[in-house]
Order: sequence, then structure tokens, then C-alpha cells
Amino acid sequence: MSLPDTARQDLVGPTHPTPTETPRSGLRHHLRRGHQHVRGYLGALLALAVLVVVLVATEPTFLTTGNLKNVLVTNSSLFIVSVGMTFVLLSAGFDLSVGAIMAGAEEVLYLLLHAGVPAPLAIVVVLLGGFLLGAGLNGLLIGVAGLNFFVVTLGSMTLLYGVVDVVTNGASQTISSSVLAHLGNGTVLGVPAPVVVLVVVIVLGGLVLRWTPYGRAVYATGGNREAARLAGIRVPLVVMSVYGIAGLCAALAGVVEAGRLASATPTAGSSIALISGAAVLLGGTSLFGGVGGLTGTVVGVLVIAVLGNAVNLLGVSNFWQDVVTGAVLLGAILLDRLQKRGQPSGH
Amino acid sequence: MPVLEARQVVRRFGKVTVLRGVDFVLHAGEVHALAGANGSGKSTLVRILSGALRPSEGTVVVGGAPVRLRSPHDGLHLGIATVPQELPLVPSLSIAENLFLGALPRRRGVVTWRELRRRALDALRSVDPEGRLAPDRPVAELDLADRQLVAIARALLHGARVLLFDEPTSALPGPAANRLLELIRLLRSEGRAIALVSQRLDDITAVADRVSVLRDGCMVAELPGDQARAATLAELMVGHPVHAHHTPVRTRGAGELLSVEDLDPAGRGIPISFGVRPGELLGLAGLPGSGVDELLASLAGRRKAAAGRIRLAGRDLTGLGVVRRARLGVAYVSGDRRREGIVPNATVAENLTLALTSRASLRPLRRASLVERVAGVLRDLDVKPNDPTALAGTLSGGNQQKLVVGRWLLAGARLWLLADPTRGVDVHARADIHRLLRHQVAEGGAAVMTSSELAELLEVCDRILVVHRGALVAEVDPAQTSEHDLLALVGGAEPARERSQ
Repeated sequence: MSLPDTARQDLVGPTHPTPTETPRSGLRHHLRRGHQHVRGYLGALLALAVLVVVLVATEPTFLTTGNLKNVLVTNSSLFIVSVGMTFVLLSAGFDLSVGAIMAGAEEVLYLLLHAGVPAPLAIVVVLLGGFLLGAGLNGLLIGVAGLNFFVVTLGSMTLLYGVVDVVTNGASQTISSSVLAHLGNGTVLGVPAPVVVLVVVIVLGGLVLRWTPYGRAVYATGGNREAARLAGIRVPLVVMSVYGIAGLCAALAGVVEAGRLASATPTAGSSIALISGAAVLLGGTSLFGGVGGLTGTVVGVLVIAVLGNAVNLLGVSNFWQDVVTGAVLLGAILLDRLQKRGQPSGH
Repeated sequence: MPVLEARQVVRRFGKVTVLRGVDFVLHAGEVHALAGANGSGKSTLVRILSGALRPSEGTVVVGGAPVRLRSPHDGLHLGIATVPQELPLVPSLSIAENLFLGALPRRRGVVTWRELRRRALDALRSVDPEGRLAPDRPVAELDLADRQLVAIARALLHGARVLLFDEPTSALPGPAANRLLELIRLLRSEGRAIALVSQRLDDITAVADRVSVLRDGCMVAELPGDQARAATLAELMVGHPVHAHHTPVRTRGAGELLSVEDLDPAGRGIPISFGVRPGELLGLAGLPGSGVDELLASLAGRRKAAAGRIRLAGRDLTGLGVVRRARLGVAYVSGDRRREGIVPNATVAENLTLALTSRASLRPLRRASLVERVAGVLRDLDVKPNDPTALAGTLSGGNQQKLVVGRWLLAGARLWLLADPTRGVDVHARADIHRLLRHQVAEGGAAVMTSSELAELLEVCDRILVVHRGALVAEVDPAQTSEHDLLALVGGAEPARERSQ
């Protein structure tokens, strides 16, 4: 059996080591890349560390399995939506409509189940619908027609929430499906199902961004659209696809949320677009595209999630969560700017 | 056989003919330089050769066969690559990813980073033999010279046999420019064909095997590289004989309104000193990238100089920002009026009083006298329409620029800093602005001005300082200097100081 050429080269190592540096092994090389990246979300990491230390010291309930599970499960939809949002921000965009897509997904799911469609099929249809809505409405208008992402997604958000309200008359519906109940509240080997879903989504998203030519095309598109175009990357398709992915993630978040709460709520996700945007930015992804990644996003979401948990445990009013989240976001961005000022050239 | 040829190429834009039947021949293993003044058609020719533009008439011939290039992609497929002024790189990605952008090495759909890195090291070796450029570094961390190396390496990766350089050294500091010329020699020795468009005549004379000169869309001369001297080229570019006459830069003296001491605007380590007396209009001449723009920007307080002092009538301005300087009577007028001049959605009167508003604090402006003064300025500058309530954005470019000048007139500026102030302005407005500047300077003010047209500096300035690669290299008297002299000087011709009478 013969190895492919590239694999054989991997085994014998590079043929021309340069005098100034010997090529690093793959792992160390990636660690170094990863290390460079940490700078982007250093502020968020610090905030998270401080939060965790304070909570561990003052609240004995914080470090219990039950509480930690609870933190992840209640924020599972935020995690999932933020993965899609990371793709969008990396491409130098923003998607305000993810919350509306989430609410729409819950509603469609309810209608399909109500009409007797089997739950697995209904879920697939809803996910596909989320992708097509994101790619076909937001993505087409932004990537192909060249309209501004803020205006387009503001419009589609308003439109979708409107449609949901028209259909439901503003009333929540109870969903009774064993498949969904399992997805929302069941466990896999002791791990809550929503946590399994969010981990799978994050890992998949991370792999795509890091290891596929498509993922790199997302970075290139956000970093310099014209250069990407000149290099033969089909920029309009890339832009369409990231809004598709954001829609897909939002629909998945809707499915998980519907399962968790056993209901379809017309106001679902009403603030998730801005919160997940804040989480992604906290995680060091640039609002202007091309810089960042999912590791940072996970840290960013964790900051917001743990903050919410702290507010609960300390018995403070929920409103304080937003105050602190906003302050942390501003602090992290300020820290980022101060760091960059110290760097040589380039921005 | 030539590798790339333009035959009788004509290019028209609407009714304007930019190229009038131009021939250009490029052989393997040679550097063929293309010289020409602004607007001579150099860039148009390069864009046609690269495939970015199509000729209106005539043909592009590659390796003996006529081709129709529809895009730079077509050109690249035939081995023709451009190294443009705006480099098409993604700053946030690594050097390696930029080299293989759109064609990352992969195995079963997965990017093979190790392979990418190895190939990048290979590709970089040709442009960076010492191995300074680590493939993992983000392009954002590189200076312009290194970014150019990455762009060249990418062109070579695409198998480019022909490289078209468009003003590659214009924005580079001296040592980096020399390194690039060295690389161009190396590429030539590998048998590649190189077209070099440059306004830096000293670069052309240093590296070119042949030089063609374009003037007003016609090829007026082709000479062997060893016979091309900067003065000769400048003469051919303008079309008149050259009479060089310049003196060394005068250092400062008493009674100056503006004194500049050992200023290093861009951190190049080259100190600049000069002074401007009341009543004087000083011109600064230099190519883009020569440091002239940075010099003016640091005078205005728009950029922080690395070292040196700036004084206005004895008062030290060095640490002050643009706002404080403006309040001390330093007017900054930019040719980029859309971005740095007018507020398009405000009225003519609002635009004129902007510099007053900024220092009015909460005291209400006295309306009656202001209305009178606004009307006076509109009359003096002959602004059309003569209507204080018209929106500034609806005025012609020339009239918009008059508003910017008029604003500082109202605010009582002492020192005028003018960055290409009549760019894209019609002749009448230009004359009005010149007249007003002369008048202001005669009243005891002073002005420092740059221009994209050397003829304008010669026409209005009392004295011109020439900036080349960050240094003041000559001072010329406009009355005794022709445009071609100045062109040769800004292009880097050795100033023949104090010619014997």
C-alpha cells in the first residue's frame, strides 16, 4: 500500500529547511497560531477568570455539576446562534434577523407537528428552511444585490416577527412531542442533550472555519473583499452562505428551545441577535471582518452565561446582567484597542 | 520573439483619447521602463497589457499570437501578472494563506496547513532569500515593501513570465526601494520580462535596459538604458529642453512666521528644516511617497512627527493637535474637499462659518454682521450661485473649494497649509483661489502649498522646495525654473547646484 504523496512528505519532513527557522511540527505550529489569536479575546478571558474565581470563592453552589449544566443548557440557544453569527461577522457583516428566524422556526415546527408530520422530518424541514431563508433572503440581498447588511437584516427581522405574529396572533403554543422533549430535556450518557448539540455545532463550525477552503474563503472575504475576488473566490456565494449558516443555526436554536420549553413562543429570541453579537465581539472577532474565530466566541458566550448565572446566584435583579455585560464588552474592546496601539504597523 | 507586445494601441474614454496608436515591445530577460508625466497614458497602457482594460483599437500580442484579454485573470493565465500600487492582499490572513488565496492545498477537502506552509516557504525563497518572512505572520504586520514581496511571490507562483510593475517604488523609503530594484534585476536574470512604470527617473536609469517615453498618449522616444539620464528623460517627458538652475535649501533666518527645525515627519530619520516669512507663498514639490504629504500633514497637526519642532511666530506648535493649531490661525485646505473640506448637506453660509462656530463657545454669533461678512466673502470669491442658503453639496467642485478657502478667510487664518488645493477645480475657480491666496499672503500671512501639478507651483509660489525620498534636496526660484527642471528634480535628478554664471 502506498501513501499519498503529501502524506509521505509529512513523514520525511520538509526537504529544504531554511537557515533562519526550521519548520515547526504541525501541533506546535498550530499552538503558536492559536496563541497569537488569544490576544483578541484576552479581555474576555480575564473577565471570565475573575468571575469564576469570585463565584467559586463566594458561592458554593456555583461549582456543582447541576449548576454548571444549568448554565450551559439555559444558554444553549445563545451558543448555537453565536456560531452562525461568528461566520457572519468574519465575513464583515451582521445579522439582526437571527432571533426572528428562531421564532419562525419554533412556529413552523409547531405547525408541522400539529399537522401530523413526524418529528424528525419536521426538524429537518425547519433547519433547511432556516438555511434557505438566511441564504435566499438576507444573503441574496446582501451578497448579490449588494444592499447594506444592517438595513436588510433589520428589514427581514421586522418582516419575520410580523409574519409570526400574524400567524399566531401573538399567542404561545404548547408542543407535545417526545422526540422534541428528549432533545430539549433528555440526556446522552449523562450529558444534557442541548449541551451535546451545542458542542457538536461548535466543533463542526470550528473545523469548517479552520480546515476547509470554504472557511478560509470566509476569512478572506471579510478581510479584503476585492483581494478575495481577484484570487478567484466567489464572494457573492460566500456572503450568501454565511447568512445561510446563520439562519441554519438560528433555526436549530429554535428547535432546541422549543424542545426545552415544550412550546413555540412568538417572542422567542427577541434580544438574541444583539447579545450573540456582543458575545462574538467579546470573543475578539472583528466587526470589520477577517479576524477572529470560534474559540473566542465560546469564551465570549461563557462570559455572558456565567454573568447571568452570577446574577441569579447572588440574588441580584436580572437587569444588572445587561449592565455588567455592556461594561465588560466596552472594557474588552478598549483593551483590544490599547493593545493594538502598542503593535508596530498594520491594523 | 517578444513575449508581450502592444501594436498600434488606441484607447479612448468617451471623447478623450488617452493612447494614440502606441507600440510597446517587451522581451524575455529585459527591464523595459515606461516614463511619462501625469496623464501621459502610462497607467492606461499597463492596464491594457494586463487585461484590466481593452484597447479601442490595435492589438495585444502574447508570444507572437494576438490575444483578446477580457480580465486580469486572462492575462494571468498567459503568464502576465501585475504588481499594482494597491496590493490585492488580505491583511488579516497569514503570508502563506495570501500566497495561495483561492487555491489552498487540500486533501479530501481539508486544508493541509503543513503543506501550505512548506509550499509558502518555497515560494518565498525567490523573493526573500534570507528567509526574513515567516509564512505564519499576518500580512497586517508587514510594511509596504514586504507586502510587495508577497504580491510578487504570488505572481511568480502563478507562473508569471511577464511582470508589470506600476509605480512600485513610489511609496517606499530609499533602502527598501533599492532592495526592490535588486529583486527586479534578479527576476530579469531568471529570464522574466519586466515592464517598469515609474515617476522616479533615478530608478529607471538604475535598472532599465530600455526606456520608452510617453507624452500625451504618443510614444515619443525609445532609448537604451545606458543612454537614459534623468535630465534627458524629463526633457522628453515634457517636450522642451532643460535649463537646470537651483540653489541649496536656504536655512532659517530671522522674522519667520513659520519655522521648522529638524522635523522628521514620517520617522525616516531625515531631519527637515526650513522657514517661511510673512508675505511668502512656499511650494513643496515631490512625488507621491516622497514624504511631501507627510510633511504638510505634520505641519497641520494631522500627524505626529517623530522628531523636531514647529513654531508659528515664535510659538511652539509641536505638541498641539489639529484643532488647537486651527484655533491659532493655521488653516488647512485639502484638495479632497468631499472628505476633508465641505459639509455637503449644510448651506453655503453654514460651511463658511464653520471655523468661526468652532471657537464661538456658547456665545451666539452676531447674526447681522455675520450675514454681511458672508455676503462679502461670496462676492470676493465670486462663488456661484451667490446664495448663502444653497446646499454646499450642490455646488461645482471649484465653488465648493472656494467655500473652504472662504471659511478660513472669515476665521482670520495666518498660516495657510494647502494640500493640492485646486485638484479637479476649473480654471476660473483656480484663478480666483490663487488670487485670494496671493492677497492673503500679501496682507502678512504665509502659505505652504503642495500640488499634483508642478506647473501650478511654478505659477503661484515665491519659492519651491523639492522633496525626494524624505529629504529636502533643492530649493528653486520659480522665475528661473521650467516645469521640466522641476520634474527632473522631483524624479531624483542630481541637483546641479550653483551653476557657474
